[in-house]
Amino acid sequence: MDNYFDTVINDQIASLPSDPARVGALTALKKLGFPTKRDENWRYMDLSGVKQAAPYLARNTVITPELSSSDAEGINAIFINGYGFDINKNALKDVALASSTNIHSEDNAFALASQALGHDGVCLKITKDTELKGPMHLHHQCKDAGECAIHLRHQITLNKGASLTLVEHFSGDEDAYWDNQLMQITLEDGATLKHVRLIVEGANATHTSKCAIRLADNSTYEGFTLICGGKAVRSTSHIQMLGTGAHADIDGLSLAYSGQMADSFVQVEHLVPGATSDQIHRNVLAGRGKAAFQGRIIVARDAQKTNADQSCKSLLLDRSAEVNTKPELEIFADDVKCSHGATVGELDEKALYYMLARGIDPVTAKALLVEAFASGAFARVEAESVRSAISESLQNWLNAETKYG
Amino acid sequence: MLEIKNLHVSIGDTQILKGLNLHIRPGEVHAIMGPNGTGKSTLASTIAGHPNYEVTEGSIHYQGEDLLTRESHERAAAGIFLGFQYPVEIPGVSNLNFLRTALNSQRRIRGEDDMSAAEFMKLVRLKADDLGLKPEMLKRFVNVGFSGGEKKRNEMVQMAVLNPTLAVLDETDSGLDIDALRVVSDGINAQRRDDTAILLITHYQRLLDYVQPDVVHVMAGGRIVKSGDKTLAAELEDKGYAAYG
Ligand SMILES: Nc1ncnc2c1ncn2[C@@H]1O[C@H](COP(=O)(O)OP(=O)(O)OP(=O)(O)O)[C@@H](O)[C@H]1O
Ligand SMILES: [Mg+2]
Repeated sequence: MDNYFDTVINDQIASLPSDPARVGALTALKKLGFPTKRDENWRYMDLSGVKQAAPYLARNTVITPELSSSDAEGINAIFINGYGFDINKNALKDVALASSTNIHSEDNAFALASQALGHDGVCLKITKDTELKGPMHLHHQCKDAGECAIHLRHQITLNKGASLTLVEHFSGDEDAYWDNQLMQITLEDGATLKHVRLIVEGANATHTSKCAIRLADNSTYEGFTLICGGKAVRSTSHIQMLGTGAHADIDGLSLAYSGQMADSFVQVEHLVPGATSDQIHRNVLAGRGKAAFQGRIIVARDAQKTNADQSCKSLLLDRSAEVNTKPELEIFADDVKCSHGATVGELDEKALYYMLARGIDPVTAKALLVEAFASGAFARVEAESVRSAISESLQNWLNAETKYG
Repeated sequence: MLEIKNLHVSIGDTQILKGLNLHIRPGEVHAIMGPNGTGKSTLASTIAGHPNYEVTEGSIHYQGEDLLTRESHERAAAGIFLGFQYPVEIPGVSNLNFLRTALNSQRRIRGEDDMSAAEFMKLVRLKADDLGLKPEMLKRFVNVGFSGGEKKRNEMVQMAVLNPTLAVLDETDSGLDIDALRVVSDGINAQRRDDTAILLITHYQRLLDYVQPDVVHVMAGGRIVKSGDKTLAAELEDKGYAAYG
């Protein structure tokens, strides 16, 4: 790792198309270095996969993406090992490409790495008052990448009154790749983004991603992140409430069995008066699975009339599983309503027995109870096709958990 | 149909059932009465296969087969239904989903095909209507926010849909208003056939006025201490359990 910041990273950046954003990010990244377990914000994350993979950038190999026919419906973009394969331009006729120069500066080392070393992923603007019908799907797939780093940076701006449903799918094979992505989102006045992320990485993968969302007056962000695959997955959401009347839901569901770790970090900054935010997070842990949830709410001194809530519930299916939850409230205004709550529990034995007594087999009974618990995290996802994609991932995880525990 | 011999059951270190014998033939309705804490619910839970109840001695045979070697869900699939004294709330799982999963799970265990969604909906609506459970309650989470009486009606809807051969109904009558008792009794009587058996656990004679038992048992100290015809229930109502203390 030592020579990574000295030499490797210089070579890596030289191999990429030049752009001014990279240079600034590189300087900041070199100064900051990668985080370690001693960093409070990273204490739960397993960063060994990052160290292993960081020196090798993914190469552009021409691979035909494999998609089932149900996936293909409404596909808008596919990235294989970080290289854009296809963007369905027809579906994007109301969209303009954004310039990558108005990139916002980042303070998270991996986000900086995406800026310095990443290809441009999706860079688009949804023009004023445009309402895109149906969800836009982005597929990020890793295939035969070997042990290497995949950096991507995306930028999406919703102009005034525009609305979009964006669904991101992250998946990959058994290779020990590191998938590192930055998504910067700007919501102008009255814009609405529904954003669902399904992180189902391969068994040996490390995933670090950051979503940075800036909300102007009366804009709405409804986010949901599912983590149910990968050796070590860290999802960072950084929400900045910059406009009065803005509202953000930042929901998450993390599932981990032995050999999986899911780390969620959500920071909501209320910087102006009269904005609201709500976080519902659920963890389900089996075997020796691990999860962490850090939820930080910052309310600036003049952000009066802020309403910010957070709830994190964890379900441990086995005593050997581990969960860490850490709410952090930094409130500098006095006229605010903020709440947070965290619980850790086990399966309800009485409910389980009631189901068995009605003839439901133990595996199905457990699955029903887990689904019932988990579904609280995506109650706000409305689109039926998206809900069933979430349920399917959940079901797959449960099946794998029963098999491999 | 149900043959229980010398049944001893303990929970942890506490012995609750101490040599209970009971024989129910097809087509019969039996009632068990007895003071609080004598082990009536323990008997019901043991028949249903609750894992916390340990059978230390004795046997239970159902339709000629050893029941004790089977797990709860297998017993249910074999036709045994336990109406809970305290029905359980399951937040996040709808009544419809619960019941449909239960029905199809039983059918699979018996080697039958799943019931189609349409057929199931027809059946469950019909049974809910029979038992006066409002259709919108079917969509609600299992027993969550149901009144005591509504929970009991819900148990009866489940019984009617699952159509068991042996129904063990643990105080299904308690908490019911007078009209509900009549509706629930009709539901129980509808389940009374030549090929089914019913075991009622109750504290009140009123239920037995509607669902006439063939045999009434008095349970005390973890055993059945007296059996008789339905006049025994009237006698108990009159004199209490003092004679069996
Ligand atoms: N989990 C348990 N641990 C220890 N003792 C228990 C447990 N469950 C029940 N018991 C005891 O077993 C005895 C029998 O209980 P049971 O519920 O079978 O009585 P019952 O006859 O159904 O009473 P009731 O008429 O009040 O419903 C009681 O003394 C009760 O306290
Ligand atoms: Mg009882």
